[in-house]
Amino acid sequence: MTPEERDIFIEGERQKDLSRRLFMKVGFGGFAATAFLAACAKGNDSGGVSSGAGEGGGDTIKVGVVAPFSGVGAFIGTIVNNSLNTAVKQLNATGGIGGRKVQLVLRDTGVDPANGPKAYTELSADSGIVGILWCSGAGLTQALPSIKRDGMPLIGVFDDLLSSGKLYPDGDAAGRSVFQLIIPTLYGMDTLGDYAKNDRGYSSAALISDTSTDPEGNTPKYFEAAMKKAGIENKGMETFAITDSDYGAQLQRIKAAKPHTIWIWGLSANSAGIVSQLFDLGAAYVDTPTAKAGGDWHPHVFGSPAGTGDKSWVSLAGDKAKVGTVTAWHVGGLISLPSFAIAGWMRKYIQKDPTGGEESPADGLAALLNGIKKAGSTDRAKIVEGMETMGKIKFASIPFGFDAKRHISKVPDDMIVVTMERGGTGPAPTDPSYKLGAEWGQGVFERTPAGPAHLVRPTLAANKRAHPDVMAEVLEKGYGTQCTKHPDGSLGKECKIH
Amino acid sequence: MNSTDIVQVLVSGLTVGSVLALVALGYNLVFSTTRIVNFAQGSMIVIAGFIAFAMTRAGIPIWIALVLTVIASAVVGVLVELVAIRPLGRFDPSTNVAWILTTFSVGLISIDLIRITIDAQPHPLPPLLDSVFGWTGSRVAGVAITPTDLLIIISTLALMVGIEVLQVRTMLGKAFRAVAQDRQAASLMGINTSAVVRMTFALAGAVAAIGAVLLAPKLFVKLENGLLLGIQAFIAAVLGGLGSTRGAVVGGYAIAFTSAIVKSFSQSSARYEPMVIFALFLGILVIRPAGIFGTPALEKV
Repeated sequence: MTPEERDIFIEGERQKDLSRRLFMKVGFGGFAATAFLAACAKGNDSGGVSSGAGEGGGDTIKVGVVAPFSGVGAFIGTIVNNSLNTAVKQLNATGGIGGRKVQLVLRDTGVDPANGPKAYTELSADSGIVGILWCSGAGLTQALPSIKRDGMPLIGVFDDLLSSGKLYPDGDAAGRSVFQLIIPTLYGMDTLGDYAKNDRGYSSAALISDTSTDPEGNTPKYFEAAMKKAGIENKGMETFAITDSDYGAQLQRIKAAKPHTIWIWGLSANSAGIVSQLFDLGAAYVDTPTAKAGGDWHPHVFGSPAGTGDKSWVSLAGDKAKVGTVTAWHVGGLISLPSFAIAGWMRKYIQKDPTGGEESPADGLAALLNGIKKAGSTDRAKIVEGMETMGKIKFASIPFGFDAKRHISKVPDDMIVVTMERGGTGPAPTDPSYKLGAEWGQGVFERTPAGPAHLVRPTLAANKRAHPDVMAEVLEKGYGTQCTKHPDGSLGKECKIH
Repeated sequence: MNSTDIVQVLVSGLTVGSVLALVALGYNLVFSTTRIVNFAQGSMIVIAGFIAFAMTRAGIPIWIALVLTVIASAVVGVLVELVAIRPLGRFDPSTNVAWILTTFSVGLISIDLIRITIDAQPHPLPPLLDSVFGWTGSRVAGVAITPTDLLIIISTLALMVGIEVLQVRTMLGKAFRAVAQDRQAASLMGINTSAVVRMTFALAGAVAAIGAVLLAPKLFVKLENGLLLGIQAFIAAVLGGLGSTRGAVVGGYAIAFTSAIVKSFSQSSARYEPMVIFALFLGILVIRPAGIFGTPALEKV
């Protein structure tokens, strides 16, 4: 094991403050935990115990994992399984933390929100459970009152509580024991709104959003707020369901309003379907001047991280997916960067490429284990306090952390704007000429001809503030920054128009 | 409603209705012979889609892949019968409902097997038709119509006619109906009832394969299609009258046109479209409990 590999595992910035004994005690992820996860993937709903000799052997740290392992959201369960499977293998390979074994107890919610509270009740009834990773399992909102009552340490891995005002301390619904890992939709929409208005000069937008994954109808509210904040005219908000294959009526209404941009907020298959139908309508995106010109309608497509931010949508839409489609992500989501550990671990341990999002459950597990490590106890209140005071940690992707006044791992400075590009035929010609990022040459995206090119403006300065090392690597190695980079190294707006 | 809205409702209703009808036809094929609803039908579409995807990824042209997938999917249909129905032995489907669990279970297990052994990602299939004599699509009153749309509509209607002809005009069809009416009597008349049931499942598999390849340009090849499309198509089949081929098609169109009309009137259609569809479903079944084309079962006393 190289020193670098050692450093990767839960590298608490305040690690030196912790005793080696405590460090060795927590999170001894092992082979059996991995086996347990594999078993759970095959339908079991609770699990085994990791192996591993060491001090205090026989002790276990039980972490609950709630996710949709079945039903329409099962692809998220697959991501969770791959991520945690990899994470525990990495923990084991690096010697774990010693002494105590990690036991993951999985609960499948499928798509039924009623299963969320049920899963929580079952997990919380187990006095050995020290915390829960809630990975997009249905029914978190319904379970929040019980979670708050119990003070159960919980990390919303793929659940956006901040945008809906439920996350502590701004909101009170979740209580102090709940933390959020995923980027809030609000940050994404704000960043995109700012980019649309100030970098591209667009003045109007319309939304078409999925109601199946947004049963509370939050997306239109966030969109309205973001457009208002950016000074962009909202020309309409349409809806669709995840089962839809036809978006004709909605696109006809949006077409009549002729907004400069169309915001597609849904999963990859629906996003691909909508973009394909835009193409069939003769309304495919061409470039920014055409999108702003009016006349024939050729809107610029802005998409959600889960839709046009998922590289599979381009292979689904095929030739109808146009170069230049924009989405927002966070720096930690750039799993193509070699310095982000999860991609390499996945290839090493489970022989799979990341599909997107795998860094999050692994980082959530690391955060929880660090909270326990910091607390030196499995007392719930102390774990929460431990997570609030553990400082920044680094595990699967970039360093992140929480504090007493910020229960969200990301900050607006983390946000970046991403365009999805097509391989093979390459991007549209630009002046100065556009050169694809180095990630294309490394076969990172060999499974699909699509992959992201990362535009670090308009938040380059913010990204540099938030993650100087990561951004230095991005800029030095040229990961997708060429589009915004002049020959003298400065960043300009004109090459964004492609 | 302006002309664009009307054309949009027509195009959406016909294409989406055909999508539902294609799946519903599979339900009906099995039901019309066995009085069993094969709840694995949606999963058979997914399996066929993944088979076709694997073939096209291996470089096999889509039309050849379609033919091979039809054959492979027919085998899958036979396997479903072998695993889910055959072990139940001789039974009366109206009183012994174990088939609900067995067909449903086989469907769910198949989907999970794909998820575990292949992946859970959606995949594309190339369209069967990019163009027809150079025609790649048109816009009528601003509404897009593509070769894929036309192919789905025409194929659905052709399949409906083909299945009706098979059921009414051929010896095999007569055997299907004989088995449906009285399996014991059919057996006494020399019909190999087991082979007929197996043949029905094989045909349902073949129809699933045609559906999977035709629908892929719109719905892609994805695991979720099994459950979501399966439920909607089941509703279409019941609405039209289980056992009636033309009923399955009409049921599909009834749901799709209702959906298209709701969408044309409201920006928030996705929120209450299911409610409107189920209201229609309820209304029709109150008036015609056996569905639009269904025939009520008469019991001699």
